[in-house]
Amino acid sequence: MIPPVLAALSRSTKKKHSEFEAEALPHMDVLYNFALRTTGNEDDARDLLQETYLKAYRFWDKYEKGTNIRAWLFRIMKNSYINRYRKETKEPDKVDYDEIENFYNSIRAESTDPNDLQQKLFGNLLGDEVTKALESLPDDFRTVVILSDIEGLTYEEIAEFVECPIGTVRSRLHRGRKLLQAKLYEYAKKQGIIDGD
Amino acid sequence: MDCRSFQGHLGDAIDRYLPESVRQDFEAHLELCRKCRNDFELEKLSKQVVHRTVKYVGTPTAIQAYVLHSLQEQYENVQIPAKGWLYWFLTRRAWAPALASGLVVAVFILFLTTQRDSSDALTDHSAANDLINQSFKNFALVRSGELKPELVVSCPESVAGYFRNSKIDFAVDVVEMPNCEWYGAMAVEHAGVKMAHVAYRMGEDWMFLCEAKHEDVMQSANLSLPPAAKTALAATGWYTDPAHPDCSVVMWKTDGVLCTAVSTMKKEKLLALLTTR
Repeated sequence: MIPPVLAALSRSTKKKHSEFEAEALPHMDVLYNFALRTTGNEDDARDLLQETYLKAYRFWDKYEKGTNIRAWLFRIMKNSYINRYRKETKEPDKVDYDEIENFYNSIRAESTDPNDLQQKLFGNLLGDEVTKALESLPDDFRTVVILSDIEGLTYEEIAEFVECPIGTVRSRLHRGRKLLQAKLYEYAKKQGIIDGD
Repeated sequence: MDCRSFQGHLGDAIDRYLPESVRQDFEAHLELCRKCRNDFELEKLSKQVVHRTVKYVGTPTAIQAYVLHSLQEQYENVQIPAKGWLYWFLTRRAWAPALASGLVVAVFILFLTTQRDSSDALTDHSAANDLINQSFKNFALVRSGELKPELVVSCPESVAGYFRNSKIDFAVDVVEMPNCEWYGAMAVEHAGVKMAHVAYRMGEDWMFLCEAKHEDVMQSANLSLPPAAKTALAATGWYTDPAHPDCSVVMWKTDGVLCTAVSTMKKEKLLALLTTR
């Protein structure tokens, strides 16, 4: 039989469990989606999600009640990803931004009508192709594109999540979208969805 | 506006809002400059392609169970000290009655020193179906970003137009606030009562406004108001929640509509803005 005082301690621990679950678990879908888009596969996403929640529970006393818990959880996930997955996988080829810029300029020819492009891309690109293009972006750009264009966060929220100034968020988002456009355009050309030169 | 300036505002035009002073120049440049127009359309397209084709997925049940199971194991690993000095200390018989006595004394002292004001009952809004309580919750959710308005714009006329085209069947009083960076609007129905929600962001300050037909609120079996609020609204048409530590709560009636405002602004400033329109 557990002595009464120890039973009280046990109740306090249970209270911590239920508080943690009530506050942290509702954000699982958002975290899972981010983990999936970042790691690129379900198994790694599952492991990243598990690691995030275990760390969050371990450091629950460090979380300041009333502050943005989603941002807090997200930072744990981001750091876990950096510490574990980025080191394990091969570093992606460095992006030559100037090359992308030149390529991008070439698709801004007089003949490219964004409305026409919209019809063709929407109609013919599958989610898989867009997902692959997104996963191929450098981490910093991919993160802000996911948070803005999939999760719908504001610049302020993204800045809080990734711990950088709003100007940096703006710049990364702009560049990330340009890279994405270039990759999707290239894919669409290869598939014959749009005419290449 | 030149191209460089246009490019600097591109992100705001696509993702956020443009202040009125900038919007006109931006749109004028958009009309005139094909290169910038292409850039704008392509970036918008990129956002739309991602948004529409990369689907948001719920966490698979198996993965949810996996995470919960791991957490459960973590909980069970939190051991109460079993054999150390703390265990010996806490299991001494004398401690239980000593602790109990201490608790009784503490409660007695608390009882003597705390004056429970009977007026607390008249202003209490902690009930789950209380309109002020719900407004607080929505206020917190909007601020944290968990609740996103359906419409985010920079001018109140757009908000009024949104509500006119929605299921809201009363004239929504869209309070125009000075230095308001954006207005967020949502038309909802809660407990059978149609409600118009408007969120305001003004620099460091926030305001959340909930509006509903006064008679719908009063007659609803699923909504409540503190007795003090009902009395004050009937007498003067206004009510302010007393001494709230973090923010101000003001209610008022106008043309049969009951408005509830929760704001980070000090009460005096909020009242001054609301009453001088």
